[in-house]
Amino acid sequence: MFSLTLKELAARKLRLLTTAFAILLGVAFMSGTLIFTDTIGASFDSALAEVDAGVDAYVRTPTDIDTAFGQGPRLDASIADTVAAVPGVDQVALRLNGYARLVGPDGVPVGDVAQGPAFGMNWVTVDDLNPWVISSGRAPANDDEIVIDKSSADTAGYQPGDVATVLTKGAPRDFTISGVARFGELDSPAGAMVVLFTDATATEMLAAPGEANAIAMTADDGVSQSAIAAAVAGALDSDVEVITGTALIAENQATFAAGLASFKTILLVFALVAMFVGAFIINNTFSITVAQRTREMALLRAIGASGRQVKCSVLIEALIVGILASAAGLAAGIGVATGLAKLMSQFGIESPDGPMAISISALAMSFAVGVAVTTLSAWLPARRAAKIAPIDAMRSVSVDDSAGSTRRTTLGAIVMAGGIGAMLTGLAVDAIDLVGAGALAAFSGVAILGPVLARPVAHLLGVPLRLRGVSGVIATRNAMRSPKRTARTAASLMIGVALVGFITVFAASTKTSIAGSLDEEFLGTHIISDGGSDNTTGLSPQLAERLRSQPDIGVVSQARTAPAVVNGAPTDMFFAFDATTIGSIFQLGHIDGDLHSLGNDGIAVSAAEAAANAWTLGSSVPVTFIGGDTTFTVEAIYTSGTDWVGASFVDIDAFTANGMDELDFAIYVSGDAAAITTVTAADPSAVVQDRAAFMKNKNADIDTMLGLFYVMLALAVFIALLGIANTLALSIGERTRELGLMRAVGMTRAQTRSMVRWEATIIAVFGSSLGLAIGTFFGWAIVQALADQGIDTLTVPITSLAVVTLVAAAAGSTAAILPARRAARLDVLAALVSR
Amino acid sequence: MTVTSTAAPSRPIQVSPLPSSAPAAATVRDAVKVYGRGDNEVRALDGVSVEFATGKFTAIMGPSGSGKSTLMHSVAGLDHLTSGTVLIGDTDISTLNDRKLTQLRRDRIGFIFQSFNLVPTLTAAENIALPAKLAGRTIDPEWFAHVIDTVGLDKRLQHRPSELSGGQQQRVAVARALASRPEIIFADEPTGNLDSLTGAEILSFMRSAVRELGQTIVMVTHDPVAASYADRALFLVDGRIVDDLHQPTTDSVLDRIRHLGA
Repeated sequence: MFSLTLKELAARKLRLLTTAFAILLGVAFMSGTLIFTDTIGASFDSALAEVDAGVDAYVRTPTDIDTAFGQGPRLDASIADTVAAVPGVDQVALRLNGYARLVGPDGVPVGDVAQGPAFGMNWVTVDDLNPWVISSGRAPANDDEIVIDKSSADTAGYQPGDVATVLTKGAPRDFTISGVARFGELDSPAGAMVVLFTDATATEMLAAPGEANAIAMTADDGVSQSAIAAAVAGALDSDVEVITGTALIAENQATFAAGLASFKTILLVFALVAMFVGAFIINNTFSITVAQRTREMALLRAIGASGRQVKCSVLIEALIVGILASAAGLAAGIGVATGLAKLMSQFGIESPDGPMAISISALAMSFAVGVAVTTLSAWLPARRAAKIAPIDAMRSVSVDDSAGSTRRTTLGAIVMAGGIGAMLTGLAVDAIDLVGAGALAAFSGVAILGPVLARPVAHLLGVPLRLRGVSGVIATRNAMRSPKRTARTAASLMIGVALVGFITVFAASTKTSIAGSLDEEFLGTHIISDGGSDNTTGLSPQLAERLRSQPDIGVVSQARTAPAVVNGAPTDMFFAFDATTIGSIFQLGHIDGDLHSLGNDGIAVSAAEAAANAWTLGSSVPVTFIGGDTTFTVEAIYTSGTDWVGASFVDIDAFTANGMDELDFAIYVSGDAAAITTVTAADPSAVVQDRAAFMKNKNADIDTMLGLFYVMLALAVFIALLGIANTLALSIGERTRELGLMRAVGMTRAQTRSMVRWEATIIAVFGSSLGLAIGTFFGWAIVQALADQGIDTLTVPITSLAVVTLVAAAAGSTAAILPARRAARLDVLAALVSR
Repeated sequence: MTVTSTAAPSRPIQVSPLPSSAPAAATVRDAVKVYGRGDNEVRALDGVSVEFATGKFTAIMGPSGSGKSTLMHSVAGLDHLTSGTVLIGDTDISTLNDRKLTQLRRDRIGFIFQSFNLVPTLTAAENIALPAKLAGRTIDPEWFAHVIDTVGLDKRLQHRPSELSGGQQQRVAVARALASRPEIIFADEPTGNLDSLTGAEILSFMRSAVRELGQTIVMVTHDPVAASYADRALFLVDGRIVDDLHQPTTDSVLDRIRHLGA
């Protein structure tokens, strides 16, 4: 049986190739993702280990807030003297960091804070404790000199000796660039833009007098890290913590790995979507070929093969396809990894030049998934093959033209309803796994229902084709001929298109929702920000002061943000506003209590939040900041504006009182445009947007994301198109005689081609219509789920969805080019006498 | 084997001219068709010249491998000659490209095959109208009704081929061939898959199409009974026409076959 399987495979190389390609792409994308993320991870692991290799112990303030790289509040710099006096401590250095942003020679800040962090550090003069290595020029010799990272230097075109402006929380200031440095082996850590100052300047510009972020030290020879850490801890107060250099490195590596993990998950989800599509194609191909080989298998049964042997021969064929395709996919995966590295370098995330981290586990996992998906997809066709009776050898084989059965309709409806139920439940309780499983089940349910729908839908789609003459009519009939085949082929396209439809609807709804809240809840004229998305960068508070001093500007209201834990719920973006002006900038609806009385310890909460926690005016709300725990009293309850101010906020005074950096996340303004730009001209990082520009910018951000998703989903759609081509090629093989007949009685080659292409187009439009219906439903579901996060207006962009359908139709027609050509080129006479 | 060696009463081989003034529906001159090369060379047609008269029913007979199917396929524009000329009316088909040739088959030629004559996804009526539809034409409804009436299919028009018997399917095929009023119809063993009674019915249809509608039909067959419906029977052996019988009967055809086989 085995050798028969091999001969079978060899005889159908082309079919093997297209089938294999579907799984190859999925495996390639998956292994490429794993190799790429492993490589990045390994390179950063080694970079992070290398730069802190000299650190034996590290002193810092502990924090309950989960911040990047364990940044706690600053500590008293004089602790360094105490540390230095501890026996066994060799050298000691302060570590300082904070917001600093390099301005390029063109007056525009270097780099994009939306893509990589911008910060300043002190240049550590103890070599063993300095993560940076000079690559050109020299270390800063005085307080007016800085060193910058090589990546920023290359981007801006700066050389040692150049003068550059640096923005910090204070006024912009000019420095001489004394040198350019690399972060270990990297030009810059994870695309960051870094400015390195002398200790004195760093203290002044980034921190506060007498403060530092951490203290690093080396130990005397022969003193272990744990011994020195214990000794230092013993000499210091308990409000600071001492960790070993090894623990510091491990922490940093873990932080980076966590960031990488979410990126990896997103990529893997797309790889799995591609695999899922591939599974449909493999299932379809094997279903068709088993049907086509019914006679041959019946003959095998007649001469003594058992049903099991027939089944195994199909499964072995699938297994071989799976193994070959997955192996090729692994090879292609290395190419994908290289491509991903190139893509990331476009975003400023540098990949190491060294060898790729190709781990056995990454390869084994991708390979196993590829082989398993292929074999499992062939399981049902193999079972059908086993059920072929010997007598079928004597019967004429007809194509399975059955469509729906009551059983199929019932099962499909149940699976689909179950999936939708699971999705909605998952969205309601924030269980993303349940949402994913539900979506998968919903897809499967629609796929089961496909054959029931295929005939009526194909008939409907064929109506306009009648205008295309008899080719269109026959194409329609062919698409209706085997509903299962048509449905399975369409289902593979449905998946990709559903996801395209979903994010299209989601993006459009997000845009409308933002526009809605801008219209209804923003009362100002302009929004000023630095383009950053967290509290690590921002605008100098001096800008707001200067805006206030302008008579033509009516309202100036600052916003700051910080990570915090509010009443037990962690948030990355907890806001502080200028409480005296916020009411004239945002429509906060009906306000109970008084915003003016927030002060240092008052909090304003939304009515929904208050109701959920049974808070009233005067209730206590525990909040944890980086610096520690505090308790706020509810002083005001507002009913709208949550899209802008969140479920709760405090006054800026409260941030200052809790030791937060004085950087404005945004400044909301109501005033004359010319007056505003006159003031902001002096601050290169300030981006002034009027309402239209703000909306345009938001839309552009959303469109960028949308574009990224489209690119990722293009893979799934492409695989589905391979499936359409494959199905048509198989169908054409089956219909050789009838094609010969039609050619004999006068169908031209052009008519033959258009007939095949129209069939593909019908299948593609069927698949994409199903997909868009599902996608729109998913879009509706997510808008329901995210209504409390401001995305509350469902918008179905008919034009975009129509474009998707047209593109799918065109792509389907394109996929059919080769099969159509094959059909048109059939030798009429040979086709007539075949079989 | 040569014709001249056969016993009397053999008539002289009259391959061409027709006494009538009507031009030939199809003319073959010096047709040679060679398959393979060198030792494997097979001359399927070895210098065949023949005219198929308009309004006549011609049967082409001969043993398997005699070249009768090749002759028909070549005249019908389904196969290409190695050398020689085929004229449909006065169109030299060897000068036509695939598109022109397809149009010629569509507009000027009708086909009836042994089996698998119909497109399974189309109804009987649609199959009949297929060549016209391919040409973007509509059939004259009166003529269509007449054809349907002649082959007696009016109750089965909306059925798919799979819902028709073999005889009904062949009747649809005949109707399709007649519907576009082609200059010439080629039939390749049209009754080969039918029982004798149904076969006789189909052959009667074909004969009446010739007698009553003036249709030209060329039919390949190895069945002497089928040949007896024709006005003329040509006999091929080894790629050459070896005999030409006018107003053949089953007996006269059988007689010829016996002589040829001798």
